[in-house]
Amino acid sequence: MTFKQKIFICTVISMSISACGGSDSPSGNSITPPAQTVDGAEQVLAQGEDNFIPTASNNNSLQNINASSALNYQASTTMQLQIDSNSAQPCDINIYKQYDKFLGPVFAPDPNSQVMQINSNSCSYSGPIYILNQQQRLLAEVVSLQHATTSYHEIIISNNTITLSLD
Amino acid sequence: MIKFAYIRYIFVSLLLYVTTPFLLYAAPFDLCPTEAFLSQYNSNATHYKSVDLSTGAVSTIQVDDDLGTDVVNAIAFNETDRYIYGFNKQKLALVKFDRNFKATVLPFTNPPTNNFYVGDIYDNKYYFYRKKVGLFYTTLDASDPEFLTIKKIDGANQSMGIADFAFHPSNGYIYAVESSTGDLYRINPADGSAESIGNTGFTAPGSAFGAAYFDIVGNLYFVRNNDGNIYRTDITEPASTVYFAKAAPTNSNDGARCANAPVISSNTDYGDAPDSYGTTLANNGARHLISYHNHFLGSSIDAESDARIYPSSDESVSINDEDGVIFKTSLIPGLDGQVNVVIGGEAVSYLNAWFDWNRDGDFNDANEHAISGLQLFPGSHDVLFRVPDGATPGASWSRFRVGNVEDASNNGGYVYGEVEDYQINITTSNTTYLHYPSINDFITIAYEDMWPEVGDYDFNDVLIYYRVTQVIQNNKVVRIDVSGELAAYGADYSNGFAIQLPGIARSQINEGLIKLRHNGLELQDEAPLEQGQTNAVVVITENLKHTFLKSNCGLSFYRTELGCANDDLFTFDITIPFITPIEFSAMPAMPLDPFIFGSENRSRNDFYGSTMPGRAFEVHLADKPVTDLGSTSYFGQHDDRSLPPSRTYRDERNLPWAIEVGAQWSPAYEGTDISIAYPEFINFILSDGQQNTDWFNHPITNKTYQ
Repeated sequence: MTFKQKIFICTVISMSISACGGSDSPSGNSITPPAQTVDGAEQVLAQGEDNFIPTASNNNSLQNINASSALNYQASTTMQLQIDSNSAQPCDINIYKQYDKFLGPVFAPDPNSQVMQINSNSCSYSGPIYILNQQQRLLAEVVSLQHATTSYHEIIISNNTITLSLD
Repeated sequence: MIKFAYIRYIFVSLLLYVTTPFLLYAAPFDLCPTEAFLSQYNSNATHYKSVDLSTGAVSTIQVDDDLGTDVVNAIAFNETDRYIYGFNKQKLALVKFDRNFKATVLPFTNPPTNNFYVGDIYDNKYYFYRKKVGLFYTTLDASDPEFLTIKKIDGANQSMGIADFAFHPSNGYIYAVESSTGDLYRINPADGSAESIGNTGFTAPGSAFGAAYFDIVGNLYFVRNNDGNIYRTDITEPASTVYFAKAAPTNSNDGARCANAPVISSNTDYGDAPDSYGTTLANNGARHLISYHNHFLGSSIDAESDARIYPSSDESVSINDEDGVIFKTSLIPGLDGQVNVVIGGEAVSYLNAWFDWNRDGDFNDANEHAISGLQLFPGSHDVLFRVPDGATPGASWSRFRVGNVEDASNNGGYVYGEVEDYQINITTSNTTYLHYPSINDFITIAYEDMWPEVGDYDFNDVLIYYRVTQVIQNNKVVRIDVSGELAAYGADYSNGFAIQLPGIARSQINEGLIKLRHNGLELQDEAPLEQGQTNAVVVITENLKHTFLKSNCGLSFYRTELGCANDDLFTFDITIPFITPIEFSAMPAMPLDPFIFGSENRSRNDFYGSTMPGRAFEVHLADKPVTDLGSTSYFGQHDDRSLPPSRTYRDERNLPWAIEVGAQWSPAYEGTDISIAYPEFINFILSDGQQNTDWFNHPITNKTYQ
């Protein structure tokens, strides 16, 4: 393409966009290109990307392994949740499996991850809770409308009985 | 340096650059624009604007029509030549506008003495009206000898106090709403006769309905000048007129629109409650033009072209933007409830919220507008509201709207804001909801359906997203709710889907109160509780292959093949109440016992030859019991090494035909071993499930369905 063709086309294009002659950089600053080799930077080949290099796990593919009869291929365990309080006041207790924790600490539960909503006249609970295999901690949110309070309690899951004292 | 010879090319280019905008000067409008147009008189000039009728958003197109301070009213869109015409008050002449609202004055051959402010166009004729003066028209066909000659329609009704009218897109009549009475008039342009065909219920005291528009399905929209409210009426049922959206208020207004264009929405946020609450655009759903820097709930907001009704909520195609409200307490009749509301935008906003307390499918009953015009600053707020004594326990819906309008309604459009709809449970005190895995998440059940032959271990023959909620009162389970959706189907064979409750007798279920819904619609004539079973078994569907349309792509499977997407969605939810509440200890472990079974009269894999096992074929999670209607005769055959009752559905290596995955999971592509798509699955197995417990979160991306 000749220079005059370029300048003509570029002028027309510039009517709708203002990138004529400019850089791809949003700021318009020039970017120093890295030193080029004939085939550019090295690219990491993903496992199985070319369907030629065997994947690392192929020797262990499902066709070739034996599993334990104890493995049930299920995603959770039933645990006991024990929440105690001496207040004898009603409250709502919400249990979440996902939440953000900020300095303070300040907690921000993800409402979509609510595992339990407990309305209790005695602000207590004793019963099952289902814990996903990958779950390591939970957040309990205790709401008392009588006292106009909301408190948060982080629960680390370490054994099959989870206890929480609200006193 | 640029050569001298190039200068002429630069000159031509610059000339083109400068003159191109003017090439569009006299261009007509698009074929049939979907937006509406307004003329308004502001600052000593007539301004021209477009209106998104779905939200009321107004954009200025032109403030200089080349007519100086002249007032132009009675504007109308001509579908014949695609120009807009109007009446010039000062020149008492017709004016023709191009797409940029630049004017060309067209003097009448017989100029009138009155100004006109009511007009519309049909069949290339411009009709205009004024109370106590009459109805007139002129042809816009330049080849007609009577072009621009005003004709009076003798005997026309002259008593209507109307500020604009609009032609119906197809029936040839003119319609208008009288400002003082709200009466809807139908006018016959042939003889000017007019009759009131009903009352809309809306008037414009001290103002006027200055703009009127039709859409292609025959809805009439009329705009009240002083507050900008847009109302929509079905002309066959004027009493059902609704507030539709809110445009900008003005002292003067006139409207023009292509009546054969649909009213559409774009860049608009909707709720997802059932449409009885007013959710879709057709049903005047609650909606807002999204505005990221102003009024919204939580941290996100998304846009849709129309509402996606539960269970096909917008998060299935976009993001989950229902993130601004957390229910902190149970909703118990007679007590206060509390929600946490996050105002995520930068503006002080008004919060309005409605709860369907009597569960009748609308938000219009007494006390259902539970939070009204509450002004909130950006940030997090705990908000109290009262649950009425008479609230009906059970599942229901709520709607939260924020925006800049204090007295927002529970449907209709507003420019600024967001709407979020939430399912709620109205309950008695001392009630616990125990969700598995959580209130809005799913786990996944994945099946191989070649049993008792091992399959290809892609675990995508049947893939179900699955959730269970138990309702507990006084430490006993009173009800189980199961919901889910078909996530993938990578099988030739036809499979049904059912759920067994091991240890719960069929007789313990209150069969008359079971409710099964497919895609949100209750199945009235189905009996989900299966006959002939000792344990309770509910059948969700007899054949999952009937729940989606095959694509003409690959093997016509559902969401298992590269490049073979499928937008069909099959969801289910079932409520299973118990006659007598059941102790925790008697409840089966999660995920209960979901299983697939053979559809009747459908052939299966080679193992069965010409036999069609139908319902007797079942595949469960490992070590789950076969039901009474499933056959035990296949145990131990071919690759199966079951030793019932304790060991079932395992092969000699203890591998299963079904697995449960603790998340909403993307399956391997068709024919891809699960351990190739998810390499950590191997170590999860070899460690007896102690390591790599989140193996399903680490796929080889190009091996899994995206």
